Amino acid sequence: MDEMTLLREFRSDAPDTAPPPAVRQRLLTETLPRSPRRPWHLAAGAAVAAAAVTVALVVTAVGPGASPSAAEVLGLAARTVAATPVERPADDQWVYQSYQFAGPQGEAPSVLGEAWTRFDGTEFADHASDSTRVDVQPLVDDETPTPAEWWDFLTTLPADPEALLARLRTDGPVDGEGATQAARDFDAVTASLTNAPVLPPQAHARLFRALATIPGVEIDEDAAPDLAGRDVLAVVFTGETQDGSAVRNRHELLLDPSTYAYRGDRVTALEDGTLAGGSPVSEGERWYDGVLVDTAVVDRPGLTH
Amino acid sequence: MEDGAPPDQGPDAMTPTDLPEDDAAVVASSLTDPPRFALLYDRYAADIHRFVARRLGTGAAEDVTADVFLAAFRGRSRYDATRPTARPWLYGIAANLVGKHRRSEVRGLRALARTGTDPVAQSWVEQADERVTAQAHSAPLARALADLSAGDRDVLLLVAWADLGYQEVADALGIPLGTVRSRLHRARCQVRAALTDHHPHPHDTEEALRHG
Repeated sequence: MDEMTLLREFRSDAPDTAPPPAVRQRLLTETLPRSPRRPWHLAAGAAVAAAAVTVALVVTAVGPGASPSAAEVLGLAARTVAATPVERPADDQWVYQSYQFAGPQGEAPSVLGEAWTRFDGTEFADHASDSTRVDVQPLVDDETPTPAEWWDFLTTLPADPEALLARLRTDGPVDGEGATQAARDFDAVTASLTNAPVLPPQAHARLFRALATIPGVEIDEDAAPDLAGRDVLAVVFTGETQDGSAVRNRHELLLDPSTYAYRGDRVTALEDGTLAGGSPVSEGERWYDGVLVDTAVVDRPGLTH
Repeated sequence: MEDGAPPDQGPDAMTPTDLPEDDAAVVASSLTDPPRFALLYDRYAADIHRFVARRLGTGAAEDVTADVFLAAFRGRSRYDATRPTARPWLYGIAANLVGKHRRSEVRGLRALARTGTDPVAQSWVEQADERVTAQAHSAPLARALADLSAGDRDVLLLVAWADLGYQEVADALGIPLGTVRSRLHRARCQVRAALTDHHPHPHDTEEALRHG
């Protein structure tokens, strides 16, 4: 079945009836301006739509401390990014990003593209793969933090690694996923490094130092080149890193070996099993592989530097 | 106003069979006779309600459906009289109003992707404790839909769920036809990729790269 057929079946058991008569009455009341307005009180649906999802609390396993090499390498990474000046972009500047994702089972990249997001998050621009005409669209999306919101949140992160991790657990824009506290903390920190398009230098350094304190985090200085063929340094976490999954994964956060800028992420299954969402994976399968090819702060969409 | 229209007998007397006018004529006549606008409600409320319920659940769908027709009524003087059917216009308003609940829509999709239980489908199941068993592909599909940009998701769902043609989607959202094609192409590719490899992203990298 193709994706449109599956999509048409998705939630196709939704009711095909008109809303209750009160809804029609509300419209009719509006169309009769001289009639007395009646206080049509319609049941708010938000409570139903936003039904709370309860997540089982997992007791944190006490693991060994991070290896000295993680502390050493991430300490150097922290000093490096802290010494690299980055200004907060103006609200009307744009963040350019080009990206690439591996196709399934080593096929050609399934997504390769570039996009521009206005720093204040009000507009988004991209172009079709067969065109160079940049199409600017208003971005109305209160789900995803804007680049400015990311920047402003990150500037509030505390210096103390433990306090920083606690802050991400309670107030972070992205909830960390995983079977253990360490896995969730690793996910929350890497999500910040991945999703914030422009990072304040001090916060960037603090995130690296916090990463080094997460039990089980290791460094692989001989990691395979990334999808774009670049040499990378990998910050590695091994464990059940996905909610609803019972597969041990090796999750690599890929950094530039000299600037420590974010390069990408890749996740490899370490055993046969089933991922969140129910799809099977086999041992050794690299089931996620995505890289940020290039990024820059520019003055208008269409510019790449 | 068509001269064949019967005199106003009060809003409750109106049914589609009384007035075989096209939508443009109904909108035009409602400018002088506002209650006639309810005819459009009778023609399309069930469709709009279903579309919104599928995205947000039945509870929110009642409020949003009411708001769609109120917004349409208030904006009826700007209706393009050359368009005989009001479906794309109403769906466009619905898509924009659903957009105000985007956080809730994405949260519902993510909940389904994570837990296999769909809080939106739960809203139309009578027994709340009777869990809806999701279809095999629901979780990766929900995840893919949640990861689409708002504009891409609107185009995809207007085609898949509202059965609008490309030009109708362009009219509904007020965007160029070429943008409809490129958004639909992109959305279909992303959903197909998600269903092909069935694998969730580690933490929304793709969405972040597109949205910042």
